[in-house]
Amino acid sequence: MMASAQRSLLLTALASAVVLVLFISAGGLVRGYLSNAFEAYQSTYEIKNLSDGALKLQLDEETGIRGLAATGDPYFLQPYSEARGPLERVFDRLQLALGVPVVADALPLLADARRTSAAWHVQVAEPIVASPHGSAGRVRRYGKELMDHYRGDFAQIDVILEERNRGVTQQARDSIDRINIFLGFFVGLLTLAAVAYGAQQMSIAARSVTQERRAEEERRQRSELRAAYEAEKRIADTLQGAFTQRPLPRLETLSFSASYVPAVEDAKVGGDWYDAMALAKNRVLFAIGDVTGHGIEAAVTMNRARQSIISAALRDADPASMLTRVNLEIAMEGTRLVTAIAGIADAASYEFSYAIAGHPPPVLLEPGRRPRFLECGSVPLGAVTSPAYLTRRIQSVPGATIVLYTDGAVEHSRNVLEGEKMLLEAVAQAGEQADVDRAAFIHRKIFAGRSVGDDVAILTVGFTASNEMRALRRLERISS
Amino acid sequence: MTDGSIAVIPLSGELEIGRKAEIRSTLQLPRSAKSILIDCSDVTYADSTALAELMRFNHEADAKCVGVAILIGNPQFARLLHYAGLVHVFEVFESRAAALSYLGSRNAP
Repeated sequence: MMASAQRSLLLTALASAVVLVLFISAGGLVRGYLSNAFEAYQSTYEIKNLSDGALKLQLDEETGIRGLAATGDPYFLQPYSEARGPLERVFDRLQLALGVPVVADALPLLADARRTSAAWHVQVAEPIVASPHGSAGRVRRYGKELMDHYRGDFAQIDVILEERNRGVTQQARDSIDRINIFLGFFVGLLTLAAVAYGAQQMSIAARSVTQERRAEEERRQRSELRAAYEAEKRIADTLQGAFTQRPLPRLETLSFSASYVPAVEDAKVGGDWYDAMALAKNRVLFAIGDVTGHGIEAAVTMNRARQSIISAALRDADPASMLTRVNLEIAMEGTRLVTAIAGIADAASYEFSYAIAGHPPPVLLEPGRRPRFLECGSVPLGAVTSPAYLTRRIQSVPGATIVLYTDGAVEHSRNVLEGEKMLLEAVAQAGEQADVDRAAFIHRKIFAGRSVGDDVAILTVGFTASNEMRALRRLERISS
Repeated sequence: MTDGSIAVIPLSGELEIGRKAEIRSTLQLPRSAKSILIDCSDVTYADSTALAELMRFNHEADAKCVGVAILIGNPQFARLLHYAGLVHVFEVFESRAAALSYLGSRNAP
């Protein structure tokens, strides 16, 4: 910006200097041409005056002589004798003035006029002066002839002077025209340049203003969009975080592990959740769920579903009844579907009971057996007004674990059958590990560091094995 | 796209949230048909959003007494429908003939 301003200033100064020089030299030229023309006029004017003078003086002489010849009165001799001296001086001055090259053609004419004047003087005037009455008609006729010749010479000199005048005028006119053309061309060029420069500056200014405005608008929109998006994500994250980070129960007879990994794609802040809550000494509620869609609304729906499962569980310990109650609430809202599993793990009887609403089936891992999928298949919450949810009961054994997960854990490759195989394998391997965070282990096994396109929640609830329980009791005794 | 008074709506590929608008515009009740076959024989995957669209469509059809059958061809999609309990909500068939015969008998007075 600075450099371009400096450059345009420099250019302007340079252009001004050039214009000044051109104007001064053009002025000099005009002055030269005009003064030449003026001088030429002056000299022509002088020559004209002189030649008129020569003509007049000669005519004065002649008039005097004719008067003398006609009347014999010597009175008429006065102009004749007064004119002769000045006429010679005029002739000399004329000769000098005609020395300029342009009018040099007139010199022979002047010489001829002088000779004629002299001849007239000697052969006409003097004989008449000598004998005014005796002058013959022949002499008078000869005198008239010489006078005509004399006049003819001066007429020709006049023509030459006229020509010279015309020439000077033409020359002056031509040079002024040339200067005019030059100046006109130059001024035109300058105007054009100025207009072009102005237009360019204006278009640059206009363009930069438009660009600035557009860029500003884009920046504003982007930042608004980002702000709105970040606000939404923050709220959703906060909701999600607050809900999922509820601590797992710590019980002697039951062990828990949980993992929640949100989608890598920021826009997919989802509605996955899990819960585990002690209802009594040996009884826990476990729940997992997923709300269709993402964002704040999904998180709010998730929260509602989650809270209503807990409050239903506090009133009624039957999983199917819990889901039926929750379904009413979600169906009334009417906008989203929620898939969920609600269940009870009873460590006194080693029984898992659960009900499913459109959710992928839990996996049961029992000591010494391959892990297997439990039964599933019922509509999501909010799908129909009176669903027939079913409580399924699994009589299990000490050391058994139920694994719950959201669809991201099996649908990551879009091949759900393949996904289920991978999940069973991961659960089997988790079962072989002692002292491991099973949920985290399963997630790691499935995704092996790959990025996750959807939220994935995993919750495990297990009955403590009898030998583990004995070890725990021993530990407690030692520490107390 | 009608087999007599049975309209056939084809869906294919992976039905997911990115195609929600397309799925919704495809799943429209035809004016004249008495029953509809949703041909999902080429569907390999459906996320919860797509399943929700299918359920919404089923509701609408149900409200207007239009029968709906879903034809499936892919075991993965079948598994997803099973998860969602939709095998109990929809009439699901693995053979086109069976699906058409079901809808035909339903249309019969």
